[in-house]
Amino acid sequence: MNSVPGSRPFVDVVTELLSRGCRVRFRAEGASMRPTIRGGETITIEPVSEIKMGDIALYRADRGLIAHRVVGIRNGNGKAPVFLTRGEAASSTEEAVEEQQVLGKVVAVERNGQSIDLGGRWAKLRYRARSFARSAGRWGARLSGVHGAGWR
Amino acid sequence: MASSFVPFYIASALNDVLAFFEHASEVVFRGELRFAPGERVLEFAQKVLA
Repeated sequence: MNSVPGSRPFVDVVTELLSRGCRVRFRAEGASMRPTIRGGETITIEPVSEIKMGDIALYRADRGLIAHRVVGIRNGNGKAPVFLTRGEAASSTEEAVEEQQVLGKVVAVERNGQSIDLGGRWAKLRYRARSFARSAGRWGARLSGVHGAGWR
Repeated sequence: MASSFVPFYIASALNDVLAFFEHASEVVFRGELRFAPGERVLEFAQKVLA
């Protein structure tokens, strides 16, 4: 993840609560969603009927509950969509997630006593701006390598 | 908005745990569900009623 306390009863209760339409808050662990979600911060999950690009989906996996960013959606011919998800840390890799694995989306994180919106338009805009800056940095590093001059 | 706080809740089945959260609009976990022999223990959970 950010992953979550992975005990089976915890996963089952969270799954059931979200399927009933209840919001759930708990402490997340792990570093894969840094800087958006840091280990030990409390996240709020809402049930959703539709997951969109840029949402942070909470889904069930063999290793427990995972909250990762949706970076792609594959719509099969008449089949349920498959979501490509990825953490925001550099070491994170993409994972294909079936629709039935998805329980809800992360809408807020609590940091320093404040609730930060993660589900709204501005939150997604911040994420896109950060992604763009990171890509630009990578291209800059490549170009500097081509020309044999590093940033110093 | 009403809320109730449960430091320890001992149940014999998962359904008992879920029954506690009936009618909750939000559930806040401060700890986690833990197994003990023959029982399940829910620590530090809060339910909020809209």
